[in-house]
Amino acid sequence: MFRGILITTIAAAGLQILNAQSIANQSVTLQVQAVTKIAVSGNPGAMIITDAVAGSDLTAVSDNSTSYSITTNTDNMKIVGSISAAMPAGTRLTLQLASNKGISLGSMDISNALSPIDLVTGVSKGSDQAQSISYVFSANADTPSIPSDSRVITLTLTN
Amino acid sequence: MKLVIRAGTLVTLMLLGATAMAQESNQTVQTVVFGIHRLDSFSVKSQSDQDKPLNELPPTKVTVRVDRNLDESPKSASLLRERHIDLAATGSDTMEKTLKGKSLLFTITD
Repeated sequence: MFRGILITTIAAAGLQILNAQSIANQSVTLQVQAVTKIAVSGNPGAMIITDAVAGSDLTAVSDNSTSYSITTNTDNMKIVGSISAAMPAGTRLTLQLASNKGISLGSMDISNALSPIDLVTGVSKGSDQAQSISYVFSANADTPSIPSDSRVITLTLTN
Repeated sequence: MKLVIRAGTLVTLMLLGATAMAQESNQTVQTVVFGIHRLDSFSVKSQSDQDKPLNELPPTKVTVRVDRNLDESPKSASLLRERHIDLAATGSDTMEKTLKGKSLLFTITD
Protein backbone atom coordinates (compact mmCIF):
# COMPACT_ATOMS: atom_id res chain seq x y z
CA MET A 1 0.00 0.00 0.00
CA PHE A 2 2.71 2.39 1.09
CA ARG A 3 4.79 1.40 -1.99
CA GLY A 4 1.84 2.22 -4.23
CA ILE A 5 1.38 5.65 -2.70
CA LEU A 6 5.09 6.35 -3.01
CA ILE A 7 5.15 5.40 -6.69
CA THR A 8 2.08 7.52 -7.37
CA THR A 9 3.66 10.48 -5.60
CA ILE A 10 6.92 10.15 -7.49
CA ALA A 11 5.07 9.83 -10.79
CA ALA A 12 2.98 12.91 -10.05
CA ALA A 13 6.10 14.86 -9.16
CA GLY A 14 7.73 13.73 -12.39
CA LEU A 15 4.77 14.85 -14.43
CA GLN A 16 4.82 18.19 -12.69
CA ILE A 17 8.47 18.60 -13.59
CA LEU A 18 7.75 17.63 -17.16
CA ASN A 19 4.90 20.12 -17.32
CA ALA A 20 7.12 22.82 -15.91
CA GLN A 21 9.74 22.18 -18.59
CA SER A 22 7.29 22.15 -21.51
CA ILE A 23 6.21 25.76 -21.14
CA ALA A 24 8.49 28.60 -21.94
CA ASN A 25 7.61 32.13 -22.84
CA GLN A 26 9.57 34.64 -24.85
CA SER A 27 8.71 38.18 -25.64
CA VAL A 28 9.54 38.95 -29.27
CA THR A 29 9.73 42.58 -30.35
CA LEU A 30 9.15 43.12 -34.05
CA GLN A 31 9.58 46.28 -36.03
CA VAL A 32 9.83 47.17 -39.71
CA GLN A 33 11.50 50.47 -40.32
CA ALA A 34 11.13 52.64 -43.37
CA VAL A 35 13.44 51.28 -46.07
CA THR A 36 14.53 53.11 -49.21
CA LYS A 37 17.14 51.49 -51.40
CA ILE A 38 18.28 52.34 -54.90
CA ALA A 39 21.12 50.83 -56.89
CA VAL A 40 22.36 51.01 -60.48
CA SER A 41 23.80 48.24 -62.61
CA GLY A 42 26.95 50.22 -63.43
CA ASN A 43 28.12 53.15 -65.49
CA PRO A 44 26.87 53.95 -69.00
CA GLY A 45 29.20 53.64 -71.94
CA ALA A 46 31.14 56.64 -73.16
CA MET A 47 29.04 58.93 -75.32
CA ILE A 48 31.22 60.49 -78.00
CA ILE A 49 29.75 62.61 -80.77
CA THR A 50 31.54 61.72 -83.97
CA ASP A 51 29.18 62.80 -86.73
CA ALA A 52 26.90 65.50 -87.99
CA VAL A 53 24.41 65.98 -90.78
CA ALA A 54 25.29 69.03 -92.82
CA GLY A 55 23.12 71.94 -91.84
CA SER A 56 21.95 70.35 -88.59
CA ASP A 57 23.16 70.09 -85.03
CA LEU A 58 25.78 67.51 -84.21
CA THR A 59 24.36 64.01 -84.24
CA ALA A 60 23.32 63.09 -80.72
CA VAL A 61 24.45 59.87 -79.12
CA SER A 62 22.60 57.86 -76.53
CA ASP A 63 23.13 55.10 -74.03
CA ASN A 64 20.56 52.85 -72.44
CA SER A 65 22.85 50.06 -71.32
CA THR A 66 22.31 50.51 -67.61
CA SER A 67 19.39 50.05 -65.25
CA TYR A 68 18.37 50.78 -61.71
CA SER A 69 16.45 48.91 -59.04
CA ILE A 70 14.63 50.21 -56.00
CA THR A 71 12.98 48.85 -52.89
CA THR A 72 10.84 50.96 -50.63
CA ASN A 73 8.11 50.25 -48.11
CA THR A 74 6.86 53.81 -48.16
CA ASP A 75 4.29 55.20 -50.55
CA ASN A 76 4.61 58.31 -52.67
CA MET A 77 8.37 58.33 -52.95
CA LYS A 78 10.23 59.90 -55.85
CA ILE A 79 13.55 59.58 -57.64
CA VAL A 80 15.52 62.75 -58.17
CA GLY A 81 18.75 63.30 -60.05
CA SER A 82 21.56 65.82 -60.03
CA ILE A 83 24.84 66.38 -61.86
CA SER A 84 28.22 67.07 -60.29
CA ALA A 85 28.98 70.04 -62.56
CA ALA A 86 27.20 71.81 -65.39
CA MET A 87 27.72 70.42 -68.89
CA PRO A 88 29.88 72.45 -71.30
CA ALA A 89 28.20 75.32 -73.13
CA GLY A 90 26.28 74.20 -76.18
CA THR A 91 25.83 70.62 -74.99
CA ARG A 92 22.91 68.88 -73.37
CA LEU A 93 22.60 65.73 -71.31
CA THR A 94 19.13 64.31 -70.86
CA LEU A 95 18.18 61.46 -68.57
CA GLN A 96 15.10 59.27 -68.59
CA LEU A 97 14.22 56.62 -66.04
CA ALA A 98 11.64 53.96 -66.78
CA SER A 99 9.37 52.96 -63.91
CA ASN A 100 6.70 50.43 -63.10
CA LYS A 101 6.09 51.71 -59.59
CA GLY A 102 5.91 55.41 -60.31
CA ILE A 103 5.37 57.98 -63.02
CA SER A 104 8.40 58.65 -65.18
CA LEU A 105 8.62 62.30 -66.14
CA GLY A 106 10.26 61.32 -69.40
CA SER A 107 13.46 62.73 -70.82
CA MET A 108 14.70 65.39 -68.42
CA ASP A 109 17.48 67.88 -69.13
CA ILE A 110 20.01 67.34 -66.40
CA SER A 111 22.74 69.49 -67.98
CA ASN A 112 22.64 72.14 -65.27
CA ALA A 113 20.85 70.27 -62.50
CA LEU A 114 23.27 71.02 -59.72
CA SER A 115 20.24 70.80 -57.44
CA PRO A 116 18.19 67.59 -57.76
CA ILE A 117 15.32 67.53 -60.22
CA ASP A 118 12.42 65.08 -60.28
CA LEU A 119 12.78 62.11 -62.61
CA VAL A 120 10.14 59.70 -61.31
CA THR A 121 7.31 60.66 -58.98
CA GLY A 122 4.55 58.86 -57.12
CA VAL A 123 6.61 55.75 -56.46
CA SER A 124 4.48 53.27 -54.54
CA LYS A 125 5.86 50.81 -52.03
CA GLY A 126 7.37 47.62 -53.26
CA SER A 127 10.30 46.79 -55.46
CA ASP A 128 11.05 47.77 -59.04
CA GLN A 129 13.83 45.87 -60.66
CA ALA A 130 16.08 46.53 -63.65
CA GLN A 131 14.33 49.63 -64.96
CA SER A 132 16.16 51.20 -67.88
CA ILE A 133 18.24 54.37 -67.62
CA SER A 134 18.51 56.31 -70.87
CA TYR A 135 21.00 59.09 -71.52
CA VAL A 136 21.15 61.32 -74.59
CA PHE A 137 24.16 63.56 -75.21
CA SER A 138 23.61 66.26 -77.83
CA ALA A 139 25.36 69.43 -78.93
CA ASN A 140 24.80 72.49 -81.07
CA ALA A 141 26.53 72.63 -84.45
CA ASP A 142 29.07 75.19 -83.30
CA THR A 143 30.11 73.40 -80.14
CA PRO A 144 33.89 72.99 -80.15
CA SER A 145 35.46 69.58 -79.97
CA ILE A 146 35.71 68.30 -76.42
CA PRO A 147 38.30 65.85 -75.19
CA SER A 148 36.90 63.04 -73.08
CA ASP A 149 35.24 64.48 -69.99
CA SER A 150 32.95 63.11 -67.33
CA ARG A 151 30.23 63.99 -64.86
CA VAL A 152 28.82 62.16 -61.87
CA ILE A 153 25.05 61.69 -61.84
CA THR A 154 23.49 61.15 -58.43
CA LEU A 155 20.15 59.37 -58.20
CA THR A 156 18.26 59.65 -54.93
CA LEU A 157 15.16 57.82 -53.79
CA THR A 158 13.48 60.19 -51.40
CA ASN A 159 10.16 61.41 -50.11
CA MET B 1 20.24 66.04 -12.46
CA LYS B 2 18.51 68.52 -14.70
CA LEU B 3 21.56 68.61 -16.91
CA VAL B 4 21.65 64.81 -17.15
CA ILE B 5 18.03 64.66 -18.32
CA ARG B 6 18.60 67.35 -20.90
CA ALA B 7 21.71 65.64 -22.20
CA GLY B 8 19.84 62.35 -22.45
CA THR B 9 17.00 64.00 -24.27
CA LEU B 10 19.43 65.64 -26.62
CA VAL B 11 21.09 62.32 -27.40
CA THR B 12 17.71 60.73 -28.03
CA LEU B 13 16.68 63.53 -30.33
CA MET B 14 19.98 63.29 -32.18
CA LEU B 15 19.50 59.56 -32.65
CA LEU B 16 15.95 60.06 -33.88
CA GLY B 17 17.15 62.75 -36.24
CA ALA B 18 19.92 60.57 -37.59
CA THR B 19 17.47 57.71 -38.10
CA ALA B 20 15.06 60.01 -39.91
CA MET B 21 17.82 61.21 -42.16
CA ALA B 22 18.95 57.68 -42.86
CA GLN B 23 15.39 56.67 -43.65
CA GLU B 24 14.64 59.71 -45.76
CA SER B 25 16.57 58.73 -48.83
CA ASN B 26 19.14 56.51 -50.35
CA GLN B 27 21.52 57.41 -53.13
CA THR B 28 23.53 55.88 -55.91
CA VAL B 29 25.78 57.42 -58.54
CA GLN B 30 26.75 56.90 -62.15
CA THR B 31 29.71 58.36 -63.99
CA VAL B 32 28.92 59.64 -67.46
CA VAL B 33 31.82 59.98 -69.91
CA PHE B 34 31.34 62.15 -72.98
CA GLY B 35 33.25 63.94 -75.71
CA ILE B 36 32.96 65.55 -79.12
CA HIS B 37 35.26 64.77 -81.99
CA ARG B 38 36.44 67.36 -84.49
CA LEU B 39 33.76 67.77 -87.11
CA ASP B 40 33.41 69.64 -90.38
CA SER B 41 30.25 69.44 -92.35
CA PHE B 42 29.12 70.82 -95.67
CA SER B 43 25.71 71.49 -97.03
CA VAL B 44 24.94 72.62 -100.55
CA LYS B 45 21.62 74.06 -101.49
CA SER B 46 20.28 75.22 -104.79
CA GLN B 47 18.26 78.38 -105.18
CA SER B 48 15.09 76.39 -104.80
CA ASP B 49 16.35 75.63 -101.34
CA GLN B 50 16.20 71.90 -101.78
CA ASP B 51 18.95 69.65 -100.63
CA LYS B 52 20.35 67.71 -103.54
CA PRO B 53 23.35 65.52 -104.07
CA LEU B 54 26.23 67.32 -105.71
CA ASN B 55 25.87 65.46 -108.99
CA GLU B 56 22.23 66.50 -109.23
CA LEU B 57 22.76 70.20 -108.72
CA PRO B 58 21.37 72.29 -111.56
CA PRO B 59 23.62 74.83 -113.31
CA THR B 60 22.51 77.60 -111.12
CA LYS B 61 23.56 79.57 -108.12
CA VAL B 62 24.19 77.49 -105.06
CA THR B 63 24.90 78.33 -101.48
CA VAL B 64 27.52 76.44 -99.62
CA ARG B 65 27.29 76.40 -95.88
CA VAL B 66 30.12 75.33 -93.70
CA ASP B 67 29.53 74.19 -90.16
CA ARG B 68 32.46 73.36 -88.04
CA ASN B 69 33.26 72.95 -84.41
CA LEU B 70 36.99 73.46 -84.47
CA ASP B 71 38.38 75.38 -81.58
CA GLU B 72 41.73 75.80 -83.25
CA SER B 73 43.07 78.65 -85.35
CA PRO B 74 40.87 79.92 -88.19
CA LYS B 75 40.87 77.84 -91.34
CA SER B 76 39.86 78.62 -94.88
CA ALA B 77 37.69 76.86 -97.38
CA SER B 78 37.64 77.09 -101.14
CA LEU B 79 35.02 76.52 -103.78
CA LEU B 80 36.17 75.58 -107.25
CA ARG B 81 39.59 76.77 -106.14
CA GLU B 82 38.50 80.30 -107.02
CA ARG B 83 37.43 81.93 -103.85
CA HIS B 84 38.24 81.46 -100.23
CA ILE B 85 36.02 82.07 -97.31
CA ASP B 86 37.54 82.65 -93.96
CA LEU B 87 36.12 80.62 -91.17
CA ALA B 88 35.96 81.69 -87.61
CA ALA B 89 37.38 79.32 -85.06
CA THR B 90 33.90 77.96 -84.63
CA GLY B 91 30.60 78.57 -86.27
CA SER B 92 29.51 78.65 -89.87
CA ASP B 93 29.77 80.73 -93.01
CA THR B 94 28.24 80.66 -96.46
CA MET B 95 29.28 81.54 -99.98
CA GLU B 96 27.50 81.56 -103.29
CA LYS B 97 28.77 80.37 -106.64
CA THR B 98 27.20 80.03 -110.03
CA LEU B 99 27.78 76.63 -111.49
CA LYS B 100 27.53 75.88 -115.15
CA GLY B 101 27.74 72.16 -115.48
CA LYS B 102 30.92 72.03 -113.54
CA SER B 103 31.60 69.62 -110.78
CA LEU B 104 31.79 71.10 -107.36
CA LEU B 105 35.08 70.96 -105.55
CA PHE B 106 34.89 72.13 -102.03
CA THR B 107 37.52 71.65 -99.41
CA ILE B 108 38.43 72.79 -95.99
CA THR B 109 42.12 73.21 -95.55
CA ASP B 110 44.25 73.71 -92.51
